[in-house]
Amino acid sequence: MERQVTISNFQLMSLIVISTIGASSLYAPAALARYAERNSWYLVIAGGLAGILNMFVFLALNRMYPDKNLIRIFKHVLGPWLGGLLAFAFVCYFMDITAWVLREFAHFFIIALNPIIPQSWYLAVGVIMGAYAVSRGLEAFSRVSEIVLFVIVFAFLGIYIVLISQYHPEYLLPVLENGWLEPLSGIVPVATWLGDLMFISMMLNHVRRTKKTAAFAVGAVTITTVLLLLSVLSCTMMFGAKTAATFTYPSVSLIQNIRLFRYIERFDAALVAVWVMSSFIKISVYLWATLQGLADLMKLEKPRLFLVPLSAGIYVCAKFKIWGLIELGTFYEKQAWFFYLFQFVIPALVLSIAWLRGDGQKAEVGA
Amino acid sequence: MNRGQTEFKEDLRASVGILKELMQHSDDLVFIDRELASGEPIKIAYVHGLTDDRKLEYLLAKAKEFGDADFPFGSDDRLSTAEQAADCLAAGQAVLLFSDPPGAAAIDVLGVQLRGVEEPSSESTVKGPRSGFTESLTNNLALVRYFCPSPQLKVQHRKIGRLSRTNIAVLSVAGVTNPRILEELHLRLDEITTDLLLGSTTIEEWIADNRGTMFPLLESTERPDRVVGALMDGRIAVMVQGTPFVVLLPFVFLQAFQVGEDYSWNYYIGSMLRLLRIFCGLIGMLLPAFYVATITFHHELVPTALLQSIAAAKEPVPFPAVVESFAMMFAFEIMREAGVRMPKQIGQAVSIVGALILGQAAVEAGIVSPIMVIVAALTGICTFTLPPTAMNYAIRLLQFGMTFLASILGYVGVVAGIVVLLTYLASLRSFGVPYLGPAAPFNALELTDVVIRRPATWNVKRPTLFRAVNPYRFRGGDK
Repeated sequence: MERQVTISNFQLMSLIVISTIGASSLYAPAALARYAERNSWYLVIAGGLAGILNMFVFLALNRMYPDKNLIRIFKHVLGPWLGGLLAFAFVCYFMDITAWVLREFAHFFIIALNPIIPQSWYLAVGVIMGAYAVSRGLEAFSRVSEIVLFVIVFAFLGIYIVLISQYHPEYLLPVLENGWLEPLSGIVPVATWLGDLMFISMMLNHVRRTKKTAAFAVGAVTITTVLLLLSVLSCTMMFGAKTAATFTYPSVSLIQNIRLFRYIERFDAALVAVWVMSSFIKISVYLWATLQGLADLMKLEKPRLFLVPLSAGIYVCAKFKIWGLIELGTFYEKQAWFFYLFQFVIPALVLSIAWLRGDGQKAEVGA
Repeated sequence: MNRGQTEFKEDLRASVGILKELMQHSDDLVFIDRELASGEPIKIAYVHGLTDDRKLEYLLAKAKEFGDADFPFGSDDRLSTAEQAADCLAAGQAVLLFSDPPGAAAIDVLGVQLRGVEEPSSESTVKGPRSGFTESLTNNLALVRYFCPSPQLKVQHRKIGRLSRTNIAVLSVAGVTNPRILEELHLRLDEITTDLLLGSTTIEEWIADNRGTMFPLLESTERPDRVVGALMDGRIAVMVQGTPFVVLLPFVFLQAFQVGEDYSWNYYIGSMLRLLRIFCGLIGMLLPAFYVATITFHHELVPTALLQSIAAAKEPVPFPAVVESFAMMFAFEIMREAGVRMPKQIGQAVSIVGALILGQAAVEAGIVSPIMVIVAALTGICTFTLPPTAMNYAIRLLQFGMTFLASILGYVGVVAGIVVLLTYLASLRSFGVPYLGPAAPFNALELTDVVIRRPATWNVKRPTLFRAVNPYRFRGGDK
C-alpha cells in the first residue's frame, strides 16, 4: 500500500515534535515536580539529552539498513524465529501505545473540559480520526502535521508569553541545592516521554533522504525539549513547585489564569485544539506503525483490510485497559521501564548485535 | 461523428446524395451549383443559418475565379471522405464538392450571433480589466493573445465528444509550463469517451484527479487577465467552445481565496483583503458550530456578562441551539437560492421579505433567538465574500457537518472535524500537485504569496508548486 511513499525532513520533524510534546506538556510540570521540585527544568534537559541518544539509536539502525523498518531489521538481524517473535512483540507494543494514547485523549476531556459526554464517544472520535488518517496514507497526515506543528508551537508560546507578567522567577531559587544527581531519579519517565519518538523506526525508510535528516531529527527533539522546558518553568514560576505537583493537568490551570483586556478569560478552547490535534497525530502515527508492522510481519498484501478490525481492537483495548486516570498516571510513573524497554533498550541491543555482525562496516564501505 | 470511410464520387449528384444521407436529410442543408475558372462544375454545401452572410456571398461570387487549389478564406482543408465533409458542415464550414478528380474542400464561413465581450458577472471587479470571455472559442483565444502577445504562447486544438465534436483549446507557455503536466493533461483528454461535451464542468469532471470530491480540483474563470496570470505561473488553460468559462490547472486550495483584483490594489490593501477572505471562509464554516458547541456544552468559557445576555435572549426559545441553528442555516440557503433564481428586481424583494420580515417575526414569535439570527446572518455574509466557485458551496455544506459534530461532541467534535477535513484535503492532488500546498507541504516563501499579496517586485520566482520549467520571472540582479 505504501510503496513509493515519501515524506520530507520537515514532515518527520513535525511528526516527532507533535507526538512527543502533546501529552508530556500536560503532565510534565506536575509529574516532574514530584521528583525534582523546583529543579524540574534540569530533569527536562537531561530527558532531552536522553531523547537525542534514543534518536541516534534509530538513526544508526536506519543508516545500516536504509530500506528497512524496525520490524524488517529484527527479522534480518535475528533471523525469522527470534526476530519474528521480537517483531510480533513490537507490533503489540505499537498497538498498546495507540490504546494508551487514545485513553489519555479521552481522559483529558472528561476531566478538564466536559464530563457530560461519555468516555466511549471520545474514544470513538479518537480512533475514527486515526483510522481515517491511516486510510488516507502517511503522506496525507504528514502534511497535516506541518500545519498542526505551527498551531501547537504558536499556541504554547502564546500561552507562556501572555502569562509573563504573572511569573515569580524567585520560585526557581535556590538552584540544584541537593546536587546534580538527586533530581535525576525521575529521568526514566522523562526519557519515556521523549522516547515516544520511537515510531520513527517504522518511518525513517520513507523519509526523502538528505544529509540534513539527522539535523532535522535532533532539531525536533530540541524543539520538544524547549517547549517542555517552557511548560515546566512557567508552571513552577506561576504556582511554585509544591502546588504544581498537586494538579492533574497543571497546563490547564496555567491557562485558566489568563485574562486579556480584563474581560476575556478561559482560553481552554485553545488547549482543546492543541490536544485534539496532537493526539490525532500521535494516534495516527502509532496506528500506522502498527498496521505497517503487521503487514511486514505477516507479509500482508492488502493491509488496508486490517485497518478497521485493528482500530476496533484498539478501541476495546483502550476502554478496558485501566479503570481511571490515577491508574494511568501510576502506570506511566512506576512501570516506565516497560516503555523504555521497547523505546530504547531492545533497539539498542539489536543495534549492538548488528554492529557485532559487522553490518555497520558494510554500510560505511557502501557509503 | 461518422467514422466510416465513404469516398466521393465522380458524379456530383451521387456525392450530394451521400452527404444528404450523412446529414440525415436535414432541411437546413443547402447545395448551390457553381463553376470554377476551368469550367468544372462544383457544388457548394453549407448549413443555413450557421454561416456568415458576407463570407458566403463572397465565396459564391468568387467561386468562378478559383483555380483548383487556391482558396481565399484560411482554415482550408482538403477532405478525403464524406464523413469528414459532414463533420465540417455541422461545424459551420462550407464544403466545396469537386468531380474531377472527385474530392471536397472545407472553407470556414461560420457566423453565429454571439454576445460581445462584456464584464463577467461572476467575477466583477471594482478596479482592473473588465473584459470577460464569451461563448466563442476564437474570440476567447484572441482575447488571451491580446493580453499576452507572446510567441511562446502555445495553442493546441482538439475535438472532444463522439457526437458533439466540441472544439477545445489547450493553452500553455513554451519554456514555462512543465511538459510533463501538459502531457498528463493530453493523456487524460484522450480518455474522455463521452458523446457530448457541453461546457467546461464536464471536462473538469473527466480530467480531475479525484472525481468523488466536492472540492474543486481545477479552477474556472471568465477573465482573460486571470488566464494570462495563470499561464505565466506555469499553469495550463483549457478552453471549450460554447462556454465563457476557462479551466485552469493545476489548482490548490488556498487559491480559492484569491481574486484577480488583489493585484489591482496596493499590496497592503490586497493582502488585507486576501486575509479577510480567508478569515471569512473560516467564520463561514465554523461560526455556527462554535456557537452550538459553546451554548450546548461549554457555557463556562463565555464571559459571565455575555453569557447572561445570551441566556436572556435564548430563554423564550423552546428548541436546543442545534435545532435553531440548522433551521436558520437552512432558511438562509433557501433565501439565497431563491435570490439567485429570481429575476433581479424580485430577488431584492425576496431578501427583504426573507431577512427582515421572516427573521424579525421568527424572533418575536420566540422560535429562534436574536443571537442565532446574528450568527446565521454573519455566517451567510462571510460566505458571500468568497469568489462564487465550487469552494464556496463546499464551505457552505461543511458548516452543516461541523455544526452537527459540535452538537454531539462540543469543541472536541469541531476540532476533530477540522482535523479530518485537513487530512482529506491533504490527501487530494490536482495534476500531482498537493492540494494544500504551499501550506502543507510547507513552503514559507510561497505561502506569503498565497495568503497575502506580495509587492510585484518581490515576485522574482514563479511558484515551484506548479513545477514551471523556468523558475524565474525575471533576474533579480539588475534593479
